[in-house]
Amino acid sequence: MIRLGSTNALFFRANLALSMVSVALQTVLLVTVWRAVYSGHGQVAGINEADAVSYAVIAMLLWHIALPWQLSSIPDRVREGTVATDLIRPIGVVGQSLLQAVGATVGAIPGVMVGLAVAFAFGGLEPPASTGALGGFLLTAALGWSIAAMLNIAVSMVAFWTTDTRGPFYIYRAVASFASGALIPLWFMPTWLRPLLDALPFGLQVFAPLQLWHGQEPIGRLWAVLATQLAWLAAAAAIVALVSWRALRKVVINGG
Amino acid sequence: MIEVVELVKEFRKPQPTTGRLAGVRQLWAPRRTVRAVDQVGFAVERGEIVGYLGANGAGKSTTIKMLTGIVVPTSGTVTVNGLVPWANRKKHAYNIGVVFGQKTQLWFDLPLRVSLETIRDLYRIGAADYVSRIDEFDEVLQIKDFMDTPIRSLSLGQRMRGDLAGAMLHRPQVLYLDEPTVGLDVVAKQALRDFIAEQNRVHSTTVMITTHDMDDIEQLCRRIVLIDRGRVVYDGDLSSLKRRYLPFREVVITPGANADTAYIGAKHADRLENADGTISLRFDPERTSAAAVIAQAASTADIADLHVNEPKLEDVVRLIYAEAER
Repeated sequence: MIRLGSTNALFFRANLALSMVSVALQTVLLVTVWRAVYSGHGQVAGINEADAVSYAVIAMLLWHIALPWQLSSIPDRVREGTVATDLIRPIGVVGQSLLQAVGATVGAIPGVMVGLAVAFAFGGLEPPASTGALGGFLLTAALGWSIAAMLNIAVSMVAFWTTDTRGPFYIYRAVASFASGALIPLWFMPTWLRPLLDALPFGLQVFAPLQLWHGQEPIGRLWAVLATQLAWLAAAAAIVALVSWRALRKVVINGG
Repeated sequence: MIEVVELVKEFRKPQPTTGRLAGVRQLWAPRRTVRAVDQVGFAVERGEIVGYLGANGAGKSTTIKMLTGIVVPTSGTVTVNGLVPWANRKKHAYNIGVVFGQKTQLWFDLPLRVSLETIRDLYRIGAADYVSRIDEFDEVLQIKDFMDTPIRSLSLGQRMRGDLAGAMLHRPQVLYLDEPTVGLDVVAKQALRDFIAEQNRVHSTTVMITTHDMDDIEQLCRRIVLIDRGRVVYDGDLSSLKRRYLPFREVVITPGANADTAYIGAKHADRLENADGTISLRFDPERTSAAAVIAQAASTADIADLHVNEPKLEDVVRLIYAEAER
């Protein structure tokens, strides 16, 4: 299933090449725009230009793999009725989707590498604050990806009730992109909004790992971040289990 | 192998809404209950091939979906090889293979080889078993010719052959086929039937097939379960079904050039004059024989040609579906 996910992502060469071009273009734009925003300002909310630019690039790349344009294959398979064949496998629908998400992430690695290379070439990439910060970043980014993958599947499973998931998907994507810090770093959010954003799981997917990378979160706080992520991962898994249990009891197979 | 007792499936559907803002009002429209499967019961022994027949919307596919564990019934029980399908989905998966004629289990954008290797990994089939089964399937299905072609580029016949290979790769004890030959040409249909018959003969695979192609049934099935509006209306062998619904046979006679057709007839046979000039002598095989009818007819007039019409399953099913529509 992992191989299936990655093969699916890598099979169409033209699409792969275009997505790499798209990532490169986004990287160049982010570096340019954030430098323009900082022009004439030394620091904003305690963050210097180099950190802000580097944050914007890595956040975009993390988001590129955590929130793909297709959350999972579930909505398409429900609409076509082919989900029937997923339900007769020795691995459940959730397990299949998770493995395919791992594969899709592997398939997104070339795009991420291009983004990092372009950012490095443009001088828009800051190294991690320390070796410990790099380790903390990798660990928390992996857990953040897991939380995102679980939530993506939970939202995808709305298809069992509504068939068309575009409505819930747009709301989820808008909220998650904003609250994760993928669009604007949470450092720049108004003080009154931060407690609300911190109470959601999205900041743990992008902002928390990048805080560690840039040394904005002391490495001593790593265990607290990991504990919060694990708690959210357990909660997301429970949500997925509940949603899938309800979905599989009311499943209707389209197309006879 | 398969035990089905008083199986019921009801769906709740909103009442259709028309007029202004129908789409919005539909959200809180009163719901009606539609019973798709109604107290269905039967048992299938290991190694049987059973035809599960019915008109469109009779409840065939819904039954198959409950037997495979895809859909949870409203009430009733099903056990397949001792397992309740929807309660033991993962264990049950190793027991069953399924082919849906109208939807593929293969991954649309990827080559057949990738789909089959994914199925191999999902069911933890050893490398040697995988290779030997592909070789075995290839003898009848000839799948090696298109192993590296993406599924979307295959013809329907090739895709169905790939689907059947995918369904049987883990050597399930039960194979469900939901309209497997729909839209196929005669050569592709025959390849599928040969493969199913061989799997049944060699591995005692239990097969349950829904189809509208009566040749599938005549060639493969010894037993038929007929369903109408969610209820079983017949469960028995093929010849008894024909006897029950078409209890007569016909001798069709082409009279000689100078024959006086008025005298052509036979005892215990009804005489029908056909538009093409032939004469049908319809008789009940329990009262007289075809030989007796032919002998008597030949003694009454000069006969140029004759043949015996056996009752066709297609005629039987047409009769039953027409009754159901009335």
